[in-house]
Amino acid sequence: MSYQFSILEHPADIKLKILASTKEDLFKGALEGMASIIADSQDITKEPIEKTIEIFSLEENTLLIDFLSEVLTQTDICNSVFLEIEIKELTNQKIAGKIKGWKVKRFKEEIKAVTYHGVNIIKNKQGFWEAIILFDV
Amino acid sequence: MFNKFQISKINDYLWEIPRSFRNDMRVPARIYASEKLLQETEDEALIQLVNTTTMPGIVKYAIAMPDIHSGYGPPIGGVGAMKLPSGVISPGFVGYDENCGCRLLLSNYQEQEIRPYLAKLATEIQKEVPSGLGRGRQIKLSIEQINRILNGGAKYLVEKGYGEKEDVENCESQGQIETADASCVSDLAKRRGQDQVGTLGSGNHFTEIQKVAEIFDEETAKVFGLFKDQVVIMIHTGSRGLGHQNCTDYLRLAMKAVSKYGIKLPDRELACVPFNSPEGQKFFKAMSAACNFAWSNRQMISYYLRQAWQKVLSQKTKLSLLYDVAHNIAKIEEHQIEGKKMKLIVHRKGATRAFPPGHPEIPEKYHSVGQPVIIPGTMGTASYVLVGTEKSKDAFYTVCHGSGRAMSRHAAIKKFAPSELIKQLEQKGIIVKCQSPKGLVEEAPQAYKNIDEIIETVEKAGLSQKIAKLVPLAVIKGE
Repeated sequence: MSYQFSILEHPADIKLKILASTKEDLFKGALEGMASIIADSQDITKEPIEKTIEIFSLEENTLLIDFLSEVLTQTDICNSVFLEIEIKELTNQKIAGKIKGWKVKRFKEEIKAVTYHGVNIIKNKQGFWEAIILFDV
Repeated sequence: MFNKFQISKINDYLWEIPRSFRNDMRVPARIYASEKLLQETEDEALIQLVNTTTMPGIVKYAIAMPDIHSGYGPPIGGVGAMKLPSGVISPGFVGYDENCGCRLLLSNYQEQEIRPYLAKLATEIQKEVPSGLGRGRQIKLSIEQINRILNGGAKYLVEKGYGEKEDVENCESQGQIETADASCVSDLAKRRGQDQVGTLGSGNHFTEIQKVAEIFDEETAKVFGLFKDQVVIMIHTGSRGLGHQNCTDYLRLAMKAVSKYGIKLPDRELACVPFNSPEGQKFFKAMSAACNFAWSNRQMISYYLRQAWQKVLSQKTKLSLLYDVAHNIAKIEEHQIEGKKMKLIVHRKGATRAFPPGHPEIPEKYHSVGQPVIIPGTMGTASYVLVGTEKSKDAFYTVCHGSGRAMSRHAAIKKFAPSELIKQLEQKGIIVKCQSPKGLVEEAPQAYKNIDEIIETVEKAGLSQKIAKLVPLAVIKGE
């Protein structure tokens, strides 16, 4: 397993759980998981898009949220969905790289925000990296 | 788990979690709810309410409305008033959709006069008022135009010919908070807003053609211009991506600044800064600007909606504004605290302002009866017009904002089929225009708490008084 993600029950919003082999994969899984909420595959065009990103944050939990928030901003501005990241640098307080995706015809869901609510990156008993993210929709 | 037995009963519709419940509480927490609604409230929502009592400068109580549910940081349906100038202001206590709110437009028609045109009206409105998730508005405003909207709000748009004088008179804050400063809003936020003025968004945001099904107070209804069987249009939306970005930007800023001000909080999303700090002032100006953007959004939706209305009916038909009110906002207000008038920054997150008769901040024409309050229902269920009363003084003149979810979106998708849901609504005589079948089932009426029960509680608790019940004729979610 490099990573896998699933949607958990929440009364009003959307919770995404990511399990990954490495911390890099955790960020990649979170990105793809968010993209799966935002757009349906039939609405993705063949027009590619790439953006260079560099994000600094307070610590690794907030970095994950700030990273996804930056992608969400680009999603909205570029009318695109970003499915992959080529990571150049990842520390507890910085992520730099290139996000890659496609222009979309329409979005499936409008995510208002990636919240910091309860986010806690852990290495579980099975040795996988794990995080749960709450999206305000 | 939260032990509900630690909640003491003040009366049948008001409950209190005392300061003794947790050491870090600065004030008690109070919940307006019937016993049944209280039992149904998630523990997490109550814990979030208790968490808000720890915010510096909070006065009297942290308050929950009957439609409370868990959010992030403060709960949805939460109210917190902080003393000025040293108390805190919190982006998370406004919510990501700054100035999400409702407006109600009134026609002179009765239901039977509109019925033959209803399908055509719904189609035209869907074309004119996009969700913004698909093709969007097709008009991209310049950053300079966005700045004018951020500073000038709906008032600026009406001056430019996109509405009528009464659209400004009958809007909360006349559609423009003067403390707004566009220079405090980030370029990213502005770029997100460039093609979103006049768009609905997704989720529970909608335009609905409704009819007045019941009048509870003839005298006040007359002042509001409401009559039985009247056709009205409700708009429920907010500040779209611009507001979401603005809240995200300032939440991040506040998170960095809390330690500088020695503020200790049990949840990151409660991040707040003193109102009189440079960060607090900057956020207040930026949030005011995002609120102006939201009023402008609802103003432009009204403009396009009126065009659709006149295209189908006649150029002479009017849609006049009853009122427009926010349910995600922080505002400076004056309230009585321990017998003294005090200026406060009142946060309402999923809660609606409801000023009583004679309050200086409500339009002159409503002075004798009180502020109109617009409470949206869910697709297929009733909405309500209420009026503010003096009795809700203890809740800082606040009332609920809707019915609140009872079932997750995921569960709703699994449980309901779009075709079945449309059939059920059509059997009730409701036309549904929605691009996304998934979006439709997520908002199934069964996924929400019973709005009638919430409104009964609101009235019995003295938060507000019922004036009219509205039922949907057509639900339009935008292309």
